[in-house]
Amino acid sequence: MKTKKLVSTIWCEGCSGCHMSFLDMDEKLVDLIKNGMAFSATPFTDLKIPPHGTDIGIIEGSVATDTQEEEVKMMRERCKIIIAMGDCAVFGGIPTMRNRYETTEIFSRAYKQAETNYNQHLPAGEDISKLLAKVKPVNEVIKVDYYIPGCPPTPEAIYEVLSKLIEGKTPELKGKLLSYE
Amino acid sequence: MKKFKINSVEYSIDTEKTIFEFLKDIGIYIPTLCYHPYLRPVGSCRVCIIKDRGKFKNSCATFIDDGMDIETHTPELIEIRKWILQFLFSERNHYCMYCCVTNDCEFQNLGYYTGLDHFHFPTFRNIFDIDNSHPYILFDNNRCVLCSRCVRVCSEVAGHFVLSENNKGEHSIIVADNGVQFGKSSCTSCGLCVQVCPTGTFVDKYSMYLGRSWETQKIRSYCFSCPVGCGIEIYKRGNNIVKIYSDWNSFTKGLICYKGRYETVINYRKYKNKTNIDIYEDLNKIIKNVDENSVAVVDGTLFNEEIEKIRELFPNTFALYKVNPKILDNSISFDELDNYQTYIIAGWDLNKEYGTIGSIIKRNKYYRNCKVIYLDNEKFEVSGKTIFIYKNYYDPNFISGFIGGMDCDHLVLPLNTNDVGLLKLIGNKTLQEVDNLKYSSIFIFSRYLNINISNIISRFRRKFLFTIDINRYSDLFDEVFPIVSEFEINGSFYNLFNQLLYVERVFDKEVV
Repeated sequence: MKTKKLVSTIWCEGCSGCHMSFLDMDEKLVDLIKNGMAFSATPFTDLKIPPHGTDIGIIEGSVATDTQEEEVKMMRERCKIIIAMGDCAVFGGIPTMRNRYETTEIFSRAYKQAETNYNQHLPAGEDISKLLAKVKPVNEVIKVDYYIPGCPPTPEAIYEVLSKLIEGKTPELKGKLLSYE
Repeated sequence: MKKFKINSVEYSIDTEKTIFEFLKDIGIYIPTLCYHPYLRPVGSCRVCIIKDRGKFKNSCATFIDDGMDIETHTPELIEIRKWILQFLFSERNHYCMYCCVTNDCEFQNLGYYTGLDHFHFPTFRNIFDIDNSHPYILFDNNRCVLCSRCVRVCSEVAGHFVLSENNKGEHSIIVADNGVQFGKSSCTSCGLCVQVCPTGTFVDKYSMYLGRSWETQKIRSYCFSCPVGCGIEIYKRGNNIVKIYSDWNSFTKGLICYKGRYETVINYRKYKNKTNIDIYEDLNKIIKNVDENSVAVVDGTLFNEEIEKIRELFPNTFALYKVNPKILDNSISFDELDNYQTYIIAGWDLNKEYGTIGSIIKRNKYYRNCKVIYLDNEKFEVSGKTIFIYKNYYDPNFISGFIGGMDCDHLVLPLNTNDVGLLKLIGNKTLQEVDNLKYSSIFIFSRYLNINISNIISRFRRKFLFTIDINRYSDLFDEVFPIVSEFEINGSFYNLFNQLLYVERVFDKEVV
């Protein structure tokens, strides 16, 4: 009996579309599980912290807050292979649109000038994460081993990478599997 | 005879050729970005890099020499090309999912070709302002890869010299007129920069998000908006024109002006689904009996076939010109326009009308140091082979006063697209010469009526008009019939160089 490959995913500054695309593998998920994939901490299992020695860590979304920075570093410590999944994790994506502006400007627009905002209070408290000055792709914070670009990546691309990794091969995205949009 | 090796295979040629051209001929693909087949190579992007006897060279701008030993696809070269692309990708805003040209982008395709799946370097370092001031074109330096295709096409081909590069290094940007807003610059909106841009830096506002090139059907045709008749490519999707590009392989060699590229598209969308009469097919059904009191008047905005049909139906057919066309027999060809040393221009603006002829004159002035004379200058001297270019509706006495006895060629610019064809088919029989007491009904046929006819028609008792814009003249006429646009019929017309050009039907006419 083969040993199970533990897969863990987290969701940073993104829209969860990549996780939806992950679930969109449908019956191929069963294939992967039959071939030896097992989930540890993921939004699907509602667990937050993967165990040490997890085989594959998948990160969706860019790094925009100090909490996300810590989470991403935690993933690197606990996982042997890190995959950046989706355009936000790979390139920075839509959240980098705010890099044009200062964080104070962004807060002011969202919590003070917004047409639907009547209280005009900035959110405050120790529990709330701090915005980083710039939104960064994951590879600016930690070392990333494999990249699956796409907004979202197709289920076929995710399957290609995971199935190759479970077999112990090096995945490579080519042709229609490689897409920036 | 030059002998050289490519990937250890020996070749020899006699002619001067760049390495890239030769590789293309023998079927070896090298990725390129700044190279464009109709522009002079500059070798600025370095994506087409190859190795010759240990030295890296760009294949698009290096000519083949004796003894070369060229490598094209070693692992080292593939890796270098990938790195060059990474530098370009990470320098500016190349996030494909929020760009309107995604999936229809040369730069993006290069990324896919090289298998680029991430950037090594931090992105979005310099942020430039987006220029939305131009009526037809959106201009965003953040997506620019500085290939300078737009700068080259604006000067070498179009002769406008509006675009240039400014600043240095990563701060380099493309600017119009050395830094004024694009919409306030001297841009004539020929749109060639949009056509050659490999990224989304220059984008047509009227065609964005309406369909990518591969989702559209491409139809080669000729522009019907002025008598030059430039070769165009119409990109059609469903019942809409997505965009019109100039045809590099036509007799005008890629030249076009704002009328052909933008105004025809806007006009087509304006009148789409509102007109349904094809003169060639439907006129018999509408007009059953023509009595001898009726007179038909045709102008140059109709195709030859339509004019013939009307002439068949009406025994009394007259032509409508702005002024009496005594001279419309231009004998020079489009290509010969490049051969003159002095251009004399009367009564028209190089940038606003007959833009393609304007482009030729402007680029010859710069590259061949030709003399361009406007006839409002009182005194002038001509030198070399001279051509006199003027509208046929310019005051003829004024022109003959200037050119009396001067040895020069003539190019007469008619007002309407098919005025030459109209002259061939109907001749000088114009409405001004008609005995107006003889006729009581008048039928005017004009796709885009642009000659003032209110004085003429007031003498007739019953007045009918066949035109595309039925609302504009409805109060002057008893009845106005909507005729289809130039894209909904097969037809032919003569351009001002006496060439017979055929226009293919792009859309079936709508049943209203």
